[in-house]
Amino acid sequence: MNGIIRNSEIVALLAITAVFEFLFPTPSALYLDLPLFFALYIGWYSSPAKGAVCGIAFGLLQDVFSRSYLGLNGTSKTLLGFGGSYLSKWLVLESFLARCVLIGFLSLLDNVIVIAMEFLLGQPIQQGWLRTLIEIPVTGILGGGIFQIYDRVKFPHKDFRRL
Amino acid sequence: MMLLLQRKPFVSLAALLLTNLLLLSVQVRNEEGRVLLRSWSLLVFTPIASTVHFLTDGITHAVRQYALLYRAQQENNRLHAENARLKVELAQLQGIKSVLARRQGYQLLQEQFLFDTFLAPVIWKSAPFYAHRLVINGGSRRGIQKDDAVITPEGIVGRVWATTPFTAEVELITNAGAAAGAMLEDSRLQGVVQGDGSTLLQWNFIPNYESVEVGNIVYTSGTDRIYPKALPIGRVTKSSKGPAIYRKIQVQPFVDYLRLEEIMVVVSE
Repeated sequence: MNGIIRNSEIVALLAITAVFEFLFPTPSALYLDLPLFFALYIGWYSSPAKGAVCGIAFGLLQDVFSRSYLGLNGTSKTLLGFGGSYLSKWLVLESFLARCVLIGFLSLLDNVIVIAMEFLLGQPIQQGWLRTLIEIPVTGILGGGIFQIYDRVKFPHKDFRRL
Repeated sequence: MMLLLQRKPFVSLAALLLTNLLLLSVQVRNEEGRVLLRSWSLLVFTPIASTVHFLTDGITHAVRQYALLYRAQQENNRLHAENARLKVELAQLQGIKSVLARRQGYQLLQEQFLFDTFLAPVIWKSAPFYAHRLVINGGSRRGIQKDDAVITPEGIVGRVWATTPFTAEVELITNAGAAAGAMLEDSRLQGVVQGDGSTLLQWNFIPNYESVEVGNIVYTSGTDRIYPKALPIGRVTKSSKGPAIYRKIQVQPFVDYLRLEEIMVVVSE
């Protein structure tokens, strides 16, 4: 599946993320963790190493625009991009609901990692619990939806009866 | 590069996480305002540095201790040698002291008598079981003649048996055949003390009816024309009636003939 996500595609997704983060820097009112979603998506359809590299790229981009410490989201996205790739080998997520739950769970994990790192570094914790609780379902549902749409674009449904 | 990362995904993950960690460590400051990287590097390198310091310090200390022990060993050897030398010196000094003490005794003895005396060291002694004789450093050149009395502050020793110009041979009173006139201190009872070749003396010619107790002290009587009167001879150790008319009396001499170093010769005119 490595060939599914092309490098140009990754660059385009990075650009989209940069624009999104520029317009709605984290913590934004949209409660959508788009970099997490993209990192997961690339990891899902490519190798663990590529997922990790894309994870760090999206995470650092998020850190730049959110003006938090560089590497805070980078670390969590690296881990989740790497882990997402392994999850694709063990889980079969075809249904929309399953994808929403998984992305929501990984969003929770992302927040937990960031909070834990802030705690370990002795820094004030920026994430509020309420915001985290809202972000998890929003990211899960919107991520699941984008995942579905993206899948349709990349892998269009073919009606073999008409062939 | 990507191929390498894909072959070893966990290595790539570790490398990326380390990159993030380094990025964070150069930005985040701790409560003291110090960059975390510095704090962490201190945290990592301080134990290493302290371990290295501990090891070098330990080695230095061990080497110093070894050197100290080596020097202590040398010092110990030197002190042992010095101690041995001092022991020898002490023994010499004690010998000199005892000689001086004896000389004092001889001087007192000399002052008791009106006649001339000559103090002479013993230069040769025979084995006591072989012959009761000794040789002194002093002979006819010093006025020593045959039959001169030989005494010590403890008691009589014997008489001069033969002389040469520089030495004289002394017959001990314990020699078989040697004799001296003797008497008791209190009763003034007189007899003849004779040697029998042993370390003890026999006091002869005391009648059985006379009372001689063990522990009585026997002195020279001066009747033999060799020994001056009233010199101590010894102590009675055994006294019993004899088979004939004389008692059997044994006398232990005061002089320890085995330990004689110097004697005094009573030089006759």
